[in-house]
Amino acid sequence: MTTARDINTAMDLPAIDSSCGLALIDHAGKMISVNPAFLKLFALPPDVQNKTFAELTGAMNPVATHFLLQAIDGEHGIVSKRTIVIDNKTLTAHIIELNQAQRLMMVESLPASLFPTPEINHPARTPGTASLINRSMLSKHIANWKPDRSGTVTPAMLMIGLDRFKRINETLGHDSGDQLLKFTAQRLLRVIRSDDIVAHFAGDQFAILQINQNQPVAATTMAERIAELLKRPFLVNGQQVNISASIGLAILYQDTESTTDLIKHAELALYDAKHNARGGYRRYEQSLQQSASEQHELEVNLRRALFLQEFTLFYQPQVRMHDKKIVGFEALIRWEKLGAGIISPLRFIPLAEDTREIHEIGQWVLQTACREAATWPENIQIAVNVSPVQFESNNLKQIVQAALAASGLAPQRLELEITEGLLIKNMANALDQLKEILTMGVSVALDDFGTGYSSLNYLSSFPFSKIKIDQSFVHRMHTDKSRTLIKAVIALGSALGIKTLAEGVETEEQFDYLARNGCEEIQGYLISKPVPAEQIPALIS
Amino acid sequence: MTQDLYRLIYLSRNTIPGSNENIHQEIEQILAVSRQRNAASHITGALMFNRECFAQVLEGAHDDIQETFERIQCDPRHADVVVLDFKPVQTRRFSQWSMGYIGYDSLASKEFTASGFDVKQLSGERIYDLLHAHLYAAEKAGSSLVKIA
Ligand SMILES: Cc1cc2nc3c(=O)[nH]c(=O)nc-3n(C[C@H](O)[C@H](O)[C@H](O)COP(=O)(O)O)c2cc1C
Repeated sequence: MTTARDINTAMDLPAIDSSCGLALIDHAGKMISVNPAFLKLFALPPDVQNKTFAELTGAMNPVATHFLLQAIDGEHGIVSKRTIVIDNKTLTAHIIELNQAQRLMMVESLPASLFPTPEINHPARTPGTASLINRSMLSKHIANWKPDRSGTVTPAMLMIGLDRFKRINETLGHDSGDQLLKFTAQRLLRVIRSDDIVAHFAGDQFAILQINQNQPVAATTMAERIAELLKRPFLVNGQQVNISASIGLAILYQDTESTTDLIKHAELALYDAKHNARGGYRRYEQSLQQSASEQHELEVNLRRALFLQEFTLFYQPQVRMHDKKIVGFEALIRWEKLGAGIISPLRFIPLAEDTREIHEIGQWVLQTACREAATWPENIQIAVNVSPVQFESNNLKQIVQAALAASGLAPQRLELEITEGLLIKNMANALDQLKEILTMGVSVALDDFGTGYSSLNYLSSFPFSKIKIDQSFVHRMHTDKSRTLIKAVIALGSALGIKTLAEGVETEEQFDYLARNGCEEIQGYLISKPVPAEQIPALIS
Repeated sequence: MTQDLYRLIYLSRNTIPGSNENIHQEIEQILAVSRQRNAASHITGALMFNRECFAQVLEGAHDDIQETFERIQCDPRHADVVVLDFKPVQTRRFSQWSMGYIGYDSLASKEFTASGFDVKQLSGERIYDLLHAHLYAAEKAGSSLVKIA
């Protein structure tokens, strides 16, 4: 790069009459000097010195602004090269970092016909997320914004998050995930106005800055349109993929006082949308700060809970009806946080599934339950709940195997409880994994039967060891409907050779009814509530 | 996978407002663009319209269909797109048409809407066969449809 350095010192750019556009730019993106060809390529006014590109063209030419911002924001590579199409011209820029403070940009225009690729022939098509600016560049844009004299327009930030994107990455693979991001970026670029700016934040998050429009109408209309557009199916790697997006809005002077808070507030609104209006949008309001920080705190605490050993397992006995003997225990997780008391699994399990923390938590539950059960008499079983999410990483079998090996528990004493939800989503893959687990000697029970889409199909598709009748039916046993269902499930079980267990049994009356109708096992307060490990010896003796 | 021959069949709801005249004009415009762009990306297929719904078949290389479909997806002239079928196929059945068209006064379109016939209940295969059969019939009969097609 010696030639570049030489040019730098000796260079009088305005005097260089070449078809190649040349510009010397400082680290903040201000132009130090440019040649006439550069002005022409980007249709700039003659006096550009000490101005940034955004200031010069800003709203008028967002594509070029993205391009140049990217160019100067590039990491400290010595040379980088980028190509875009502006007004049917294909521009290629080489950026050379001369020193800490200065970059030299050389821009050439090539006739479109040199690139017979579809991208170039159809300027509306863009190469995807790589062509978008990032978070820090967007912040610069906002910082550069000056109020318009008439005062009727104000910037708005739309923060767009794809729902369940991680799951798509895990189930369909990263290549499909990347394609989805690319198409999402393209759809966004198609709906924006030419003076809007699209940025790709991390991973599954995009942002749109509307600069010159009447608010809040423009932002809410755009949010609705984007939510609708991203719900439409995508075609990825030979299959149809459906996703949705949640959107957070923050509008300067309406929701948010200063430009520096615009991104943060739009993100808080997105957070709220993801939890309370999935697939739709929310506008920022002050109360979000409070509830978001609570939810955030829960998330952070959950991440630490394993390390801080805040989880414990409680065990609820399962009793054989004919002799009322305890034949096993179901392991139930409990989270007790110092100062916060007990946090219900109904609250933290869905969150753990969302954040994927469930993988580690689930593994810990299996290990702990097996270790504990190994100290019990050999005729006592242990049942452990497994979340559908744990099947998504395709290594559940190894985790079960490791838990058994470490504890020395006989596989025949372990029963996994799964819910119908697992089978609905990806039945073939789930069944494959379950069959593998079965070959180790571990058994599998179907939990919460009757609450979901209960289908005979599931029951005959896999040799379940047990059907667990959901407690809601036992509690409503006084209604005909519940009684009919209970009887039907028991009959079905015995026809298929599958044991039935009723959950939530609290009264003798319920016990008698179930016994009369052939239910084999029960679980519930009538026998015992879930107890800590220390109390188990007393219960079984 | 990217160059393999695929077939896409989808349905969508028409959102073009206004008179029949207006709708007709928009559809003419869609067809004109489609024929030009599809020919350039080696896509063949057919479009059917029956006042409420569009049904479309696209045949071509996986990536070309993907790209075309993304453009179609962003079109505000329709909504509620339902993909009925997207799969690899051995051969093209619409190879004569970069975008054949069956309009709402045609027999085929009536068959879609015939009483008790819910478009959304139709399978991809059925739409595919209907479109194919009617385009051929129209061509044989030398009807004006072919001129548009
Ligand atoms: C029902 C329907 C079917 C369409 N079919 C096609 C098609 O087969 N090929 C095509 O290029 N455009 C088709 N279009 C038009 C596209 O949506 C889009 O307007 C056109 O490709 C121009 O895209 P552009 O303006 O982004 O370049 C269709 C539009 C509608 C509403």
